[in-house]
Amino acid sequence: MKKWSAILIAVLLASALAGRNTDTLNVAFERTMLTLDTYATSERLALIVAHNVGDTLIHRNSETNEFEPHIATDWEFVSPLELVLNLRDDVLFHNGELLTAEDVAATLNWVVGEGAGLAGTGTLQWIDHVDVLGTHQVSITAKALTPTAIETLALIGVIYPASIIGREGGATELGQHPVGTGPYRFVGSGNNQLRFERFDDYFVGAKKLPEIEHLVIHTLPEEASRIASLLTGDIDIVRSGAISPDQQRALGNRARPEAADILRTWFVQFDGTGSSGVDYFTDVRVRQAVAHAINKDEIVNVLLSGYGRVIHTPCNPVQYGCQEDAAVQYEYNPAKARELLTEAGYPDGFTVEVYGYRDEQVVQAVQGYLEAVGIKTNLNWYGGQYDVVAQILAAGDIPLYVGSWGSSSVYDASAAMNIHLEIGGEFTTATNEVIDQAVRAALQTVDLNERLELYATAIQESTSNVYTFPLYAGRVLAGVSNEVEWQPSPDEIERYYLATWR
Amino acid sequence: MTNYVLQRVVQALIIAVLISVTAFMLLFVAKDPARALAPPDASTAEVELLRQRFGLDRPLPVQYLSWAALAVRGDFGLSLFSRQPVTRILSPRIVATFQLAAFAILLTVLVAVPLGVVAALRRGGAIDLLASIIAVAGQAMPIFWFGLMLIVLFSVNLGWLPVSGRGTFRHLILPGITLAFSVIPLTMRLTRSAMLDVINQDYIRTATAKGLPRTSVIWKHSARNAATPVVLALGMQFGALLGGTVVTETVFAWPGIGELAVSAVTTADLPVVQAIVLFAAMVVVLSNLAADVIVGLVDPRVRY
Repeated sequence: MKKWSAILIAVLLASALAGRNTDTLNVAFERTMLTLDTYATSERLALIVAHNVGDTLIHRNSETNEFEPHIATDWEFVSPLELVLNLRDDVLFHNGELLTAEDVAATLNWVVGEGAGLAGTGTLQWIDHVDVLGTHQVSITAKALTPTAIETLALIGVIYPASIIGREGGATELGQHPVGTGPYRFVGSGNNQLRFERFDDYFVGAKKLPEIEHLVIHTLPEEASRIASLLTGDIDIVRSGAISPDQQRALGNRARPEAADILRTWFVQFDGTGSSGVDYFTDVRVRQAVAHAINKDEIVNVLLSGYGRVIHTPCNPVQYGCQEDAAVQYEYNPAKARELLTEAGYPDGFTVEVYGYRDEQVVQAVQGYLEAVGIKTNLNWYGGQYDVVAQILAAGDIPLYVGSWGSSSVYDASAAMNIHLEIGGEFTTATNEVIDQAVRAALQTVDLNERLELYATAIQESTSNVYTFPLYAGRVLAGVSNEVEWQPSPDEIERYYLATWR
Repeated sequence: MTNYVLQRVVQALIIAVLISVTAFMLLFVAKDPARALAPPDASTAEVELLRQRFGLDRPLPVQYLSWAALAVRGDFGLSLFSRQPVTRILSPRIVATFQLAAFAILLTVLVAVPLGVVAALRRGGAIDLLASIIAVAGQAMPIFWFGLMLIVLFSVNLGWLPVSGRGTFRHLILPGITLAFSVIPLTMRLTRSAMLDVINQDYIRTATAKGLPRTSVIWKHSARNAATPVVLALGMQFGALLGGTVVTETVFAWPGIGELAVSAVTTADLPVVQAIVLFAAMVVVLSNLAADVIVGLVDPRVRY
């Protein structure tokens, strides 16, 4: 009996330490990535991979929020529209090529040229063109004054080899076999796994050479399987957001929940123009009725077990310019909601299609609140497929949407406000001159006080008209094995190269 | 036998053509395919340009024939999202699903056929009761829940088998058992009832009266004659399993056709969806054809 117990314990330990024995960090993602080219998609998972496989010119320290030299050793605005950066001369791509100014120019010129229509390039479209000034010096010329230039370069501007991005089909190739300069090198994929290994010739810069040699990203679509894999030791990290707050108790004593307050905000979006063929929400009273019908406190405290923070702004209050006191707030008051619906001519309510792609229980809660005041909804669910729902949104075909926006991890109100308010954003479902002017003006000045005033105006106008109804700012959970030391990042860019064995 | 096979092949071809037309028309069901190909903010002129470039302005029958000509050669075009050839995306998935389905069918044959035979021979006995319990449980238990229970028991609590993924034989065991458990009840019940039909026939009584060994009576004379409906059922179920086992593949993160189908449908990746629909349907047609031929070989009555 003792012998069998010993064997069983050995098997359990071997299983639990499987990743550690092979020096492999096993990470679980919840959905399949269609491409690994972060410029081809607005999908967060591709951006996470990009930051582990590639590098940006400038690095933003996730703890201090300071910008640090990385591929670029220093930078300077030589004029309001021209940024000159000096580059390191020891940065190697995973294919052995030395990074030069040509690679930076080829990547960023491709982003604003051939790649301009792609979902992941929008944040860098402030760039007009990039010139090579020397082997290790580039100049980036902006189309207009851009207060978030450094921020966006640090977060999105991953540099590809010119030899690949410059040739036909190069971007597609990078989407399947990414080649970067980053801490982990892509070695292969298959069987729902992406496999990476430490890039020993990594220049390090502001990042860190991974302590763990191998990284394997697994796609595990089912949450119960993700948790079970964490408990058996097959998985070391379940990425943040891929574990629901109500599941944290299931982690037992082999793993622990790690939480991070993130930039992502959740909101209800209306078709304020009637472009979807549904004109209920063109009436501000109907939008206000929805605002009064939803109990945000209950969603955060009960449904999310406190993993969130109620917000009233169409941006995250931690972003620069996002001022809570400028927002008009709507108390939870179903009676008032019904009164407003009656005033708008819908005493018996109406039925409408609602769309969502993540956090189904939140969408269902919103459906429940709306039904209580007479608005019946049919859910069109696009589980995890943001790219698809974004296309339908952009086409103006969605009457009511419950979704979220991660602001591309940019800590400036513009990253959240533009997409809601500026004409052409994918969530733009109303046009308002005051808002558009304020948002545009805020993008054309670097005067901090002026920017605050402009965003206050935009927030006030947006919330009084309820063009979008903010719900809460997120706090996400990751599941982490007790064998691993690692924490999720507030900017939702998970840095697996920082993980260490305990 | 040749006429019989030819007849079945012609039937299969007609069905295949009908299925291919349906799969082709999928492209036009959701929305204007040129609009679907274009970026959301594309102008009407840009959409028209795409329509011409991809030949979407040609008459539908012409488009179908050129699509079918390429499909026959395994060319389904490029995935709308990854821009990879659909065949390249599909091939490893087909292999994975085939492996899982074949293992599940093997388990089914190993468990359901002997159990069904013994249940019929010992009608009303303990094994018959056990077989009934397994059949009811297999039909009543949601496959999703059964898979998760196996994970909890064999992976989390006992630590014997991996929770998910593909690579070694150990990865195959839990999804294979889960899938087999959904196929076993029908196969076992069919085997049992077919055996019951056969063992009450006069020729079996005669064979027993002649003093033939019991194993010979059971396996040579009874089981062979009872095999026809079972082989047919297994053939059809194997075809259905090859078309994708969405739930099992999702629970165990098995990188097969079913999991790809979910992802392709939710992303509206129509070339991939078309290829999967065509493949899944063709597999059912071919496995039915194969089952018909096998039955013809096993049971001479069928081919005359």
